[in-house]
Amino acid sequence: METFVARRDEAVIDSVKIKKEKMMTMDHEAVAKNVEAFRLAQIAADAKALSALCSEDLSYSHSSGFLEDKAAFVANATDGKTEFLSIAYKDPTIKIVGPAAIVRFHWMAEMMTDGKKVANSLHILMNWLKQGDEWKLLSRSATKL
Amino acid sequence: MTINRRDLALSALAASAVALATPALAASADDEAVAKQVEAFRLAQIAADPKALGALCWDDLSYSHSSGKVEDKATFIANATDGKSKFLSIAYQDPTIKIVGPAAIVRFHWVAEQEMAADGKKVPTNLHILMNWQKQGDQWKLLSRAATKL
Repeated sequence: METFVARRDEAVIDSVKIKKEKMMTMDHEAVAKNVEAFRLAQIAADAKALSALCSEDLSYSHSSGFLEDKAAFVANATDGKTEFLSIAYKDPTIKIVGPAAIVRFHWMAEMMTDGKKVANSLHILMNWLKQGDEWKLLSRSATKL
Repeated sequence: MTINRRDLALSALAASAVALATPALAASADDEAVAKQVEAFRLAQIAADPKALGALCWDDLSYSHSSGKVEDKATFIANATDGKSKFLSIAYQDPTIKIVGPAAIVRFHWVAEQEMAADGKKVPTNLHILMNWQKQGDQWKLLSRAATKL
């Protein structure tokens, strides 16, 4: 009987562990999906899509240190002054820590600004937050490479 | 002791006042807790104190420098306390803290001077910093950090 109870407890612990691992895998996949949706929305300069992916409390900074809130970020990213020809998020890493996701990648992009083709290479840190059952971008920072 | 209707009404009023005030109080308590941790972190960086730095960071820490170099917790602490350079001063200027549930977005303007152990050379740095702090249980600790050269 004791052995049975102990085994049953182990089984319960195992099933909790499996559930936790499953949740983390699901969270990982959900964040990866949103990061890719964000990349596509940046290329498309799609205000609605960008807005849906960002927390209302978004804090977004550029490689110059220029800082935007959600409204300013969405407005500036879609004002047509810059057109992205390509954006790659290279070597992305995602780490889920409870309701937070730490996302890092190497940004390589080509864009048209004032009729000129410009390329940039950045290190990006994104912090996503799970709000309800949705992952939203909460903060972002960029570092020139 | 008799409790009349007026007492009940007053206590109900007091209870609802507390309920109304609580979110604001909690927010400012979190603000204060994070501000305290950020200041402790600045002092631990100047002191190159591995124990203090370790206590302020989650084990999942992801810390990047203005070069884009990324460190985990063990690497960050080892490099921050290896004595190869000594901070003469670090200022966190114009800090902002925004609490969003279990997360705190912290930004400031880093102005520092460090002395290199090898040649005694003094090097100033001027950076924009983003820190993300996370609340687990009742403790706020650093989860991620990035730096941008200004």
